[in-house]
Amino acid sequence: MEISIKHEKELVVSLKGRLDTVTSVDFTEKMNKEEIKEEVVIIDMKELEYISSAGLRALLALKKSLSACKKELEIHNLNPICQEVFKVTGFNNVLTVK
Amino acid sequence: MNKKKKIRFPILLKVILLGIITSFIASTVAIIVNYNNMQERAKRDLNNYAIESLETAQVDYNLTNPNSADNINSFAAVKKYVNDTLLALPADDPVNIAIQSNYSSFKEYEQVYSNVFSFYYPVGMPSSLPYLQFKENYNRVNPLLSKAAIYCGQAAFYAFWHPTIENRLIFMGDSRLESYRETGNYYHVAGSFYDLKPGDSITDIGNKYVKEFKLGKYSTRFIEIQTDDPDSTDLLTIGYMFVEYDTAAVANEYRPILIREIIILTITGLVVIILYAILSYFMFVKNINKLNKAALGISSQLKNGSNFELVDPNIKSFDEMKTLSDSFLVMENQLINYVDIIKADAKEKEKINAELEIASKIQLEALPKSSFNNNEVSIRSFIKAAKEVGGDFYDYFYINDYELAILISDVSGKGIPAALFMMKSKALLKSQLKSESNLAKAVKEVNETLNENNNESLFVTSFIGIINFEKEEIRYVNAGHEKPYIISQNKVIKLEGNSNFVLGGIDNIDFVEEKHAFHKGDVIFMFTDGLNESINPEREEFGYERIEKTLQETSSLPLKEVIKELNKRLDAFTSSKDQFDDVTMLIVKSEEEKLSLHYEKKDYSVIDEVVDKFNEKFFYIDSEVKAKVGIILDELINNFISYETRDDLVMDFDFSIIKNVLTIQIKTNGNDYDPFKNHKDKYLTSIDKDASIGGFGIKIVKEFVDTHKYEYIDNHSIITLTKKISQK
Repeated sequence: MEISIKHEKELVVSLKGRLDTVTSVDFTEKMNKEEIKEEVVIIDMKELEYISSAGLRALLALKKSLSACKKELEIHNLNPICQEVFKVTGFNNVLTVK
Repeated sequence: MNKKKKIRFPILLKVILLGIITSFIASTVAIIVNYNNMQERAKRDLNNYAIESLETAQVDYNLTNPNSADNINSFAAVKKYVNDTLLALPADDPVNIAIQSNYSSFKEYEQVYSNVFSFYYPVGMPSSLPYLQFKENYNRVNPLLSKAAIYCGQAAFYAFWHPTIENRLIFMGDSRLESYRETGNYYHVAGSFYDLKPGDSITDIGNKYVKEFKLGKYSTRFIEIQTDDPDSTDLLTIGYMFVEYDTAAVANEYRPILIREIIILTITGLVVIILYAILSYFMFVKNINKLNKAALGISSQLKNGSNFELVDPNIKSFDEMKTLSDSFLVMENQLINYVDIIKADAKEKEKINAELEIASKIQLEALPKSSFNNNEVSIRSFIKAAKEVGGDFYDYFYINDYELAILISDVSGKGIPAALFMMKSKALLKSQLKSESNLAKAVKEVNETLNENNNESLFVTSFIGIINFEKEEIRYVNAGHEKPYIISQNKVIKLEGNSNFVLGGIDNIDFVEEKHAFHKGDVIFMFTDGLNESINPEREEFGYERIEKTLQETSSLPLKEVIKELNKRLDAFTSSKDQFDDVTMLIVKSEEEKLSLHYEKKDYSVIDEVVDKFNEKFFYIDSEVKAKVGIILDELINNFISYETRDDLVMDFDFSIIKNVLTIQIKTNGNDYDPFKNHKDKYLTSIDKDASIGGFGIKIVKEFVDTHKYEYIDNHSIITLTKKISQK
């Protein structure tokens, strides 16, 4: 999986590939290292093939850590698979999906 | 093998036997005929002999005393004596009494004459007595008569008649009397003695006829005894000589002669036969033996296989045997020619056979392998030529990435012509199918080319199919071939449809292309009529029913087993009778797509590898499905690795798509743990306490598949998932 981070008005993290057991670990590590100054973190899933529960957990962890410092997490450009995963698990209820 | 048989009954023996039998019959007939004539013959012979004897005696007499003075005088004296003296004797003279007496019997006669003699001798009858002279004259005749009697070998008597007194016998001698035989003395008589009566034959004596008359059982002959009559020129008959014989005795005497004659006849016959046999041998049997020898010579040459040489029977006769010998030579010559031809033929045949074997090898090599497998298709074939080279063939080849051409054909006729036509047909079909995407057109083109210069009027029946694995269908043209079967979901279906005309039969005809579904897992079974038309000893055909039944019963077995079972049943049916037609089978299965992976490591890297391989293999399926499979794999493998306590974790993955249903089976040697059973549906509504705890994974898996199943078998936990997928 490729993770590209752009510091703009918001922090935009673009994911390409699969967010699964292996890659979610990388994702979490990378996000932990990242110094987040922006108020809003946007995860762009436009090029993400799919997300597994491990990825969901990574997102949930990120959401929690951001919430702690009053920051927002937004998920953008979910593909139908990812939408389905979100819907099935109820993640669309807790994460801001745009 | 041909031991010389002994001739048990040679021709020579037959000839001799035949001769003996013939001769015996001839002799017997001759004897029977002759025997009846024997007495007559003897009588006649003796008769002639007697007369001859008498004549000889007479001639002797006449020759030795021709007109001798003595003779003349004697007879004159007799006449004179009789006329003058004797008759002049007083009537009571014993002589006169004797002469003039009539005797009733010979005994009486003898008695009277003994009286005469006793009368004269005691008184001293002078020698000049006319009686004595008379007696002497007669005595001179005695030797002749004796001679005649001896000649006859039988008996003779003689008598003299009175020269002037009719029918008066005056003298008689009989050789049968003892006195005659012992002493040569005779009883003499004078005067009449029998007055022979008319009808007694002897009556005619006076008329000087020689007659026969019978005295008892004897046959009698007599002859006149004559002398010159001194008083006239006539001959004077002075008496008759008689001979008589016993016919039975004569016949008895003749019997040995008869037997001797028979023996001579038989011996002569035998000699003739032997001569005949010897001649036969040289004329016939020898030649037959020569022919026989020549024939044996030829047969031994044939047997030894040596160079054939002409054997001349060398018959020099100019008869039918020569003709036979000539025919034999002609036959021999022809035989030699034929042997040469046969030898040459055999050599040629051997060569042809070797070449045929090579041809057969080349032909088989021209066919694709009898076994082929890839991910989407499995192929098995069987071909058995009835002859060295056959006219059946099959072929399969890809015409593009997703289409496979399969075909089976049967060329009319057998042997080399059929084989050559087969090669031509095969090459044409392949090139046309590869270059022309329109199947009907491709077949039409093949037909046109096969029709060109098809002087042998060969044709080929063919089923040509093109399996499209993407569309899961088969399009086909059936050119007069046996209809194949499609086995789909354990159901055997005959691929009915348009039966086009055979290839190479008529040009300028169109072919109809048809279609049939051919899903993953479907099987098509093609065959040549050698299979359904194979006959058993009762001349029943193997038939379609048996094929269908076998296909039905083997529908779940691997292709190899289907062919094996068909062959087994065919052999059992035909009782391994000689196969009369080529048998060819081609079975093609569109394989459900399958992927099997095996891992022996407890590492998360397995996830990517499995997902990548799945995507690579099932590249064509919907990307959403691929994504979902990826998620499923991620969740499950994560689970196994995260929760498994053992380190030697082994994982097996089996993916297959059958009828648009994807089946995923994951088998591990891990703990018996059913993730579905122990799982509580997790659904997040807010970020609260245990928001990070697992449980989402199984939820997702369950959502994404149609069915899920957990089993624990043989220390292995097995998860089976199915998911219907849409057409790509």
